[in-house]
Amino acid sequence: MKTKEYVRPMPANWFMHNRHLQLFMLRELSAFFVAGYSVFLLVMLYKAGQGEQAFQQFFEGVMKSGLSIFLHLIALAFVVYHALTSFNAAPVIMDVRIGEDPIDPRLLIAAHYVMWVVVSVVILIVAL
Amino acid sequence: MPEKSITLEVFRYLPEQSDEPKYQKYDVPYREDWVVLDALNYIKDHIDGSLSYRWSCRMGVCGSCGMMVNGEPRLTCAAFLRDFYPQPIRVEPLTNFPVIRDLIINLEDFLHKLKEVKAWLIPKQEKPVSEGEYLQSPKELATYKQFSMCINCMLCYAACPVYGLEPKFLGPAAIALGQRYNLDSRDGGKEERTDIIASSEGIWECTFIGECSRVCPKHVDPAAAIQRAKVQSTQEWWMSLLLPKGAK
Ligand code: SF4
Ligand code: FES
Repeated sequence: MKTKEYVRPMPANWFMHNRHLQLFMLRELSAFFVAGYSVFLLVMLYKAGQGEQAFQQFFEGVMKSGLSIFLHLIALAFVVYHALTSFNAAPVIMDVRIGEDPIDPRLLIAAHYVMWVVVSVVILIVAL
Repeated sequence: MPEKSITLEVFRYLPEQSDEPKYQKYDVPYREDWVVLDALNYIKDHIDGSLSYRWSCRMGVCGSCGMMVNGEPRLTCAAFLRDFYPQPIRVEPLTNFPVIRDLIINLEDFLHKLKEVKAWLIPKQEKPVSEGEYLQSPKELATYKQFSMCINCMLCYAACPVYGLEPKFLGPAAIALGQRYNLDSRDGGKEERTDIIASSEGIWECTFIGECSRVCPKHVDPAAAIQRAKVQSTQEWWMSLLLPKGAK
């Protein structure tokens, strides 16, 4: 005889269950900021395309406002969190081996940080 | 000196008595070298013979004693009382599965999924026994060995919120095991498995939360199997788009 089975529904706040899930949700949230800031960069590019004056106006009017600086700081924090968690996940995603053995995961993560620094320096040199 | 004891709060579901589960407290002797499964066995033998649960090997091999221990999916034969003492320990059936009775879950869904991914070797070429074994080098073995360590304990399913929200999701262990054979140099069944593994209910349902790998007692790292399968599947998609038909 088959008896009735008991089904336990997922609680709506399942992501509060432990710290790992909370951090995961934070990472999901950070994606909004990454996407949002990409759109913002496109707007800046568009303004730059309209000529120097339009860009300057936009820069002085919008970018230098307190609200903009506040939002930039929040976006920066989330984008950095997003980047770091992505770097740290690299060894899970990439299976890099020398012979039979996978290379030390720390090496793979470190390579990402080095690349990050190199790219940042190149951008800085080009920009200045 | 009175014997030290520890309290277990055990999830009880007796469908012939009530539609609702309840928690029952049992005081069991505390021993340094006891695991939660020992405490359950003590309850069954000395306090309440009606308590139902699954176990077999008592040494982390059979994968049948998985339960929620204080909200975490654990092999109860590997969860020591001393890590919780003197606090009480709450023991519940694995989450995300329907409960048949007490700590026993219905695992039909998982068994069905193992079948769906064809978690067995499909030889490239069947050869008669007289031709000997299908040989493999240590390097070829290394590519999938980690994924072959799975003991089907389903802790990863209990930890996976995606599976909890969408039971159709193929899930961590089934995908890892599908990949275990896909990566095997002797296997030729990858194409047969692709439909299900690369479907929306397969790898693309996964949002890379990573809880499966965190709770896996055998360090199978199913999250890695899934993310790598995503990369592979994307590469293959681009190749099929860029290369002329017939080329590979
Ligand atoms: S992948 Fe790990 S947690 Fe999942 S069933 Fe296999 S051994 Fe258990
Ligand atoms: S009883 Fe076999 S794994 Fe725990």
